[in-house]
Amino acid sequence: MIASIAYLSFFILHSSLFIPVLQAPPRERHLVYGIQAFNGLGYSSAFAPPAGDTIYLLAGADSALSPRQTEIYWWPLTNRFEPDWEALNQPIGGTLEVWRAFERLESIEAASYVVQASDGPGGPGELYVGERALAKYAEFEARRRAYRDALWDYYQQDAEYRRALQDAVARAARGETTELAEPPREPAPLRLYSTALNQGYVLNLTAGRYRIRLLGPDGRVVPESDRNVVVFSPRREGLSYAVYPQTRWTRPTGADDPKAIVYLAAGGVLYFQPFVSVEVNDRYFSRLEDPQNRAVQEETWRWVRVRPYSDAQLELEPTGQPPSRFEQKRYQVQQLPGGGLGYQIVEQPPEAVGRAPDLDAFRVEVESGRTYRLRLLTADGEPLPAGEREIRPAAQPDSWSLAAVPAIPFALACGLAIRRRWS
Amino acid sequence: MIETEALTKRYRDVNAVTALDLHVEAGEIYGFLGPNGAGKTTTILMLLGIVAPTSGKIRMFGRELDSDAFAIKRKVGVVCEIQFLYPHMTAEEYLGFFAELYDVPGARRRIFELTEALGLQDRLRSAVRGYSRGMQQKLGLARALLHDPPLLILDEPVSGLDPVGTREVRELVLAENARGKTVFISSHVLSEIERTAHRVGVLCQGSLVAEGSLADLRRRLEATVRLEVELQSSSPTAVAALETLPFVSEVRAEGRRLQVRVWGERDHRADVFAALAGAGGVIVGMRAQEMSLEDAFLALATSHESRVAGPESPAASSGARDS
Amino acid sequence: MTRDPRLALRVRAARAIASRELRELLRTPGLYVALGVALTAASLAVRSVLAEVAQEGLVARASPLYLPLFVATVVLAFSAATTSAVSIARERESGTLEVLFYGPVDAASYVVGKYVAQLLAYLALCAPLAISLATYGWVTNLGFSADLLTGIALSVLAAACTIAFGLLLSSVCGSIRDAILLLVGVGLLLLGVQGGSWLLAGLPQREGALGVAAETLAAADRVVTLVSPYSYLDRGLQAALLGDAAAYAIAFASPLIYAALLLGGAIWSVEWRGVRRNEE
Repeated sequence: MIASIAYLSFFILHSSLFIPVLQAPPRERHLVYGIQAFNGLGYSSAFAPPAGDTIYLLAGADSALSPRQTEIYWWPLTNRFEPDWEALNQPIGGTLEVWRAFERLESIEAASYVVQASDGPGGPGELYVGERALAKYAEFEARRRAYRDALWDYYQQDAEYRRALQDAVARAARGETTELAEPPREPAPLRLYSTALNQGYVLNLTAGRYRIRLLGPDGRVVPESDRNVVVFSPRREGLSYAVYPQTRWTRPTGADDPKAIVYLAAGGVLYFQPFVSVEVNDRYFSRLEDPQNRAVQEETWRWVRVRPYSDAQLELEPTGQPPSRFEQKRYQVQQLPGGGLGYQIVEQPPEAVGRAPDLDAFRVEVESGRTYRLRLLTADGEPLPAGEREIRPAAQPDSWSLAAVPAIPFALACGLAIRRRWS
Repeated sequence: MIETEALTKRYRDVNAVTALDLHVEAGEIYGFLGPNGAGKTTTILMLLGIVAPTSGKIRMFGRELDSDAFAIKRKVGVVCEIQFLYPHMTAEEYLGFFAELYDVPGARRRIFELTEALGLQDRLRSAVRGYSRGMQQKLGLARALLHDPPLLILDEPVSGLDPVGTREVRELVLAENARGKTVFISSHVLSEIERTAHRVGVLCQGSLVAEGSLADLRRRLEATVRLEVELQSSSPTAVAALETLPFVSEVRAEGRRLQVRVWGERDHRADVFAALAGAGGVIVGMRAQEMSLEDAFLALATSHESRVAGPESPAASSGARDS
Repeated sequence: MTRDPRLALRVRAARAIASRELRELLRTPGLYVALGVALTAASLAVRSVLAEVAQEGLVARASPLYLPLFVATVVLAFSAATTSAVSIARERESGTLEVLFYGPVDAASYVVGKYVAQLLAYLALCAPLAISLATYGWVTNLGFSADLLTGIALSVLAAACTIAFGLLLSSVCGSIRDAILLLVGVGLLLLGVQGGSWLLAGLPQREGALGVAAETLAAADRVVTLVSPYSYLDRGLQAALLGDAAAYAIAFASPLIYAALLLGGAIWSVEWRGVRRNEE
């Protein structure tokens, strides 16, 4: 009885706490910037509310800013401002001024733009501006229509095929033979991705700190259009690896730093996928991807994989033994048949050419307790310096062997203390 | 050796030392006296450059202190009243450190000689935190003498010492002075100053009220000499006879003992002897009682206080002369 | 106080003071306790890396011993800051400072002597630190790279700053208690500024007073980062990583200049505060 009352009280208390949260948060109309920021590989889509007064962009690449009037609200569950585009999504026109220190560098007029990625969102992408944007968008729409038509035809053919199959099964049951046509082929999925055609301002700046503002048709500064812009460059370029252990291929480890060493608990099969990568300021890059991201405050650096490195060979050299070379292949993950859990990673068959592989990597097998040197070579066999890594087995020593080291100075301190007391 | 010119130190509204003109000659033992709070320690600290004077000059070895403090301080050995030591160091290490600081040649030998002279030999390798007060004082003296400085500044050097230790220190000071060292001693133990100092300076409320040899001080303070006469038996006639003498200012009889004050322009003991013998007194003993340093010190201090306080003060009315 | 002492006399005084102080430090249990604590902290950091490898099966790290090194050097530098923060105050409190100044010692030779001794004591710990890290690297097969030696060398510069900072605090205090309180107070203030800045910077809604506070703390944090010796260590390591000789030279020279300024402040402070036990 008491427990029930306690439970009910707990429930009511916490429910009452949630009520203010679940109530519709107050909305305010503000000018925000929609951002298509080049992230080294493709484009990150974000929006900058008034509170996030700094926009971060990569140097030497086209990025687009689209000022809009919308309603924003503070969403406590995600701890961020959210836009309600459906309620209001009004583009703001004018001329965008770019300033550095007290000098106006350029005035940019609005233009049409679109971002397209050939291999789905998140993959390598390009920003098209003006007439080219219109043409590319029209092309995308045409391809999308064609894909839909092809898909529709496929569904129709598939339905006919199933009917014919049922009919053939019935005939076979009666002892009749029938020739069955080939099953229809599903059209290759449309991997081309495109944003909608937007109006905005395309910036391509060198590294530095800038200020932007929008001048309306009347020549006045549009309220809330002032923003700081930090444009940054990568610090270094290099080669990274995504390392997939056979036993948990869904959670790869990044060996991005050129001096990174891969430590293993035990031997096994590993898949190494090389990338061209750049080292960027982590704080800046986090806010390029999301201006409201405040997780990173310190001045740290991280490697960002820009694009896969292809046409290479991998060389693996065990310590004291001759090296072996490996080719990069496409792999797919197959669930093992039967009731048991498990999967296997196999080479992708040639006929699955339209399907993206699960892994496009070098497969190597390493033994427990052995140290290896790993190198990436060009197609001609020349080693790429940034692609060298070491694979080492990590030992798990007894507790006493690590504790023995600090025990020595402690023992010395005790000895000195005793000597002082007795002297 | 030490010369100060209008040396003054002011702390907020208080003058700790006022227009001090000290003169310490080379080769002498100078006793620096004064009641508590007179400014003796402040003066010593100014001489050592620890405290900056408000105004005035300090000259040591003929040079101004500010001009070459390093070179000057190398020639000075200092013993303070309380020894501040590094508790975990042994005496050998402690003296070795200061020997290195002063660049003492033959440091080991010198340390050995000094500690032997001061009776610290047996405890040379013991941590100083186990030393008694007296041993610490001796260690401080050893440190001061380590570099054989021509000038010693000693602030209460026998503080905490037993009579044997006091004598050892006194003999060491006298021996060093005999070797030519100038010694500047500040002390409350007036008997020690009386036994060692050639000249004294008396500081009261920051001002030097008297400076000179002990004999000079006595002459300044006392016009009469007190004679103490012991008769075989009391004799009123003898007393009467003395009172008639023109050079006798006062006679006080306490049974067989007579306290006779005679004017001090010359030695009147023979005249007193003759007068008493003529009156039928049999003299068992006679000696002149000189004013002690303590008496002189108290007289000076009281006199200064009355001058500073004004004519209506109790100090003024009590007079400067001892009973 | 003294003016224009001759250089050779100052050097001798500084050397004698440094020699005494160093002997005292090396015979004090505290130094070895600090080393033991530093190595214990480092071993815990090593364990965390090994635990991650055991759990994940596969971990890629550029310098797995960098965190243990950083942790150990922070502990040692804090210990150095503490001993230096009490050193002058202790001598002032005990009266030995005054006795030193009876002789051919001035503020500059005294502070420099103290500083050299504290720095040499830290240097003396670098060798066992390097050997210990190499032992950890060998026992665990995590390896020991030349970068770690660069890190240890740079940590000496960071320690040079913290020691100078400790001496500056010590020079203004009349007692050990005051020195410790001041050191703890300054440390808490720095931590508070950095922590507060981090907290407020993480809030997207920063309007009104909160916004002002956030901006103020952010500015203060930038100043703290500038004066923090560990920012130089990090910059130096980054420069070494990039092979940027100019940046490395700057990261090397900056803490030396910084330490020199702090020492200048300590010297001035000793002269201003005086050497007496109870300075009026």
